[in-house]
Amino acid sequence: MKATTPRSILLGTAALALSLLAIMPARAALQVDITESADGAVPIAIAPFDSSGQTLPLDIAQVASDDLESTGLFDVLDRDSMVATPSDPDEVNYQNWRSASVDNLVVGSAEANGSGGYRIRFDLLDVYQERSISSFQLNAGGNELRDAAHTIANLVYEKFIGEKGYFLSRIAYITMAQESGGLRYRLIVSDYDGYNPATVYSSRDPIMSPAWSPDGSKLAYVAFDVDRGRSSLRVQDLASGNIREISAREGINGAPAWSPDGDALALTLSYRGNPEIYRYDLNTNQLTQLTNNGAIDTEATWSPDGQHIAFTSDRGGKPQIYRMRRDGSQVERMTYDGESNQGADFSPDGDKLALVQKSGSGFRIAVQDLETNNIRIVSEGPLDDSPNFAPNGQAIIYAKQGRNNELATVTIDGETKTRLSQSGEVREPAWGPLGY
Amino acid sequence: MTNQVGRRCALAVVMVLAAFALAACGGNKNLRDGEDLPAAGMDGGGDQGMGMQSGRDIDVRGLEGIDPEDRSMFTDPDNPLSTRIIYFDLDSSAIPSRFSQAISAHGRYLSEHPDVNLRLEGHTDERGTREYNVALGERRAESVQQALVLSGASDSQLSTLSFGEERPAELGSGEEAYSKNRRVEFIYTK
Repeated sequence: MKATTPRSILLGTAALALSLLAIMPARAALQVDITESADGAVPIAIAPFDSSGQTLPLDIAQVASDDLESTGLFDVLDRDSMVATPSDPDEVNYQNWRSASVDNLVVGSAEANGSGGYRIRFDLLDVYQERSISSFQLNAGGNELRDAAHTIANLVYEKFIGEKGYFLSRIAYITMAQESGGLRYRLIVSDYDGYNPATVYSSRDPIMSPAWSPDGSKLAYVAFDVDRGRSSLRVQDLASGNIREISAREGINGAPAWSPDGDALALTLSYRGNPEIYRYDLNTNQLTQLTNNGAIDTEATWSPDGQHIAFTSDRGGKPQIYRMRRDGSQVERMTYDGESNQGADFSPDGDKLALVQKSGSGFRIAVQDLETNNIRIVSEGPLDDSPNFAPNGQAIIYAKQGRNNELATVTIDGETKTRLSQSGEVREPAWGPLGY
Repeated sequence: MTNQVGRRCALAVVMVLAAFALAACGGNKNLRDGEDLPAAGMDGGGDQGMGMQSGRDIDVRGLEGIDPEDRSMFTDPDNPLSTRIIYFDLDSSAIPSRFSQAISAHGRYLSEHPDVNLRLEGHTDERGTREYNVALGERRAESVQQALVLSGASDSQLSTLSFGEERPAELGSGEEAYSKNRRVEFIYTK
């Protein structure tokens, strides 16, 4: 059985990442640490890839191993514990791997393809059946080895988990650092694991609320202009850097959320006197008011079918999550647990909400099942914020505030956590689409 | 219908401010008594902490719209006009009564100087979600705007901008920093 990854897909994502880098290289990459992991993970080993004596600029097997390990769904064998380093199915002594309790083994190689890139092939082996389950071949440009490694991890992930892997996806986030000229805010886009960070927009004034367009080509966000005394909500095209101003009205221009078809934004405006949620049609520039209430209404999130918008409102006294139809009708309250609930994000399948719940122990990330309304707290607090589902719905990225202002991910069962940190403050993560 | 509730709520705040009593709009936004709050007129402090240094910021940026001859009134600690930051209690947009003199003084100054404009910049502490805090900061700025109008300022002289938790006067987590960050700053613009 032979599957081939289409080259064009791989090239597409890599080219976009590179054009971003060209805008302005950001300084430090986020560092990833796995802080908690679950039992019952798939045991697997990825042997170092053979490169016919050449030194590859990237350790493909290690990057793919880190991808799988970070999900908590795989128990990846350390390289130091490997009994051998085969690169071809014929070289594998299955007995040895069975003794090391490795059920699954990936072996592969990468060789120069003569045009500056690499031809990569690899096999996924079943150690007990002593045979190859799948073998793959893909081509990567000279600077695409990291994406190639993520692609390998995606293929392995999908084989065992049955969902698409998110290792080619990207995240956006805001950093704030004290620099010689004063505070500096940056909107940064990086690979999902913090690599290849690129500054999309930078300012001495606050930047907020990045939101990915569904196709991953644009970011909506809020930028303040302190000297002019205003904020603006804009959409920036990542390939060209072009900025389109959506609203710079008096008062709030905030909380952008893309409709699933990418044709509209839900946003919060207060120019008529009170924070209300509006729908802005990106094709016609038409603005439609959706809420009309003396309370605060903000933080819209669209259901994946585009029919509903959930949002935060304090119309009942404390902030809670409500849901309305896309035209603003049929408002109903969704959350009753804890003291208050804010900042909801719909899961990609529409079955769950991630939100920030306030209770006696502070602000923590919670996942609410929309069928049973059961709530599971998945973070420790005390000041967690900005939950955002991974594009395959299996994990949530969020921000931690307080002592360490950093990002974290957690699986939706709360079992496995990773930390993404760098010097200075990192916040407001937004997880982009799958990327392939 | 819900809109009317909102208006009534806003009206209640206005009346409370007129009387400078301690109250808030809505049952859950009541003041918490006994909180340790900074004294009236205290600003962020030029070299405290690592925040926005709002003390200096507000003396430079905040007075650009004031005739240089008048500026000393706004910096003289014995003049109520020198109080140009209003601090708020947790989850509240009601103006504490100790700021009544300052509100009156600014309202009178604005009514006597119809060419002067004032921007009210609202802020919150870091707890809660960021966009909700932008809305909460806006509500605080609106609350000060209504009080100034009652003290003689014209709506057309006033504007609001909320930064939510994005421009803390003091960085750090804890009630001491939080109480300095829940504020509305007076920025007199040209």
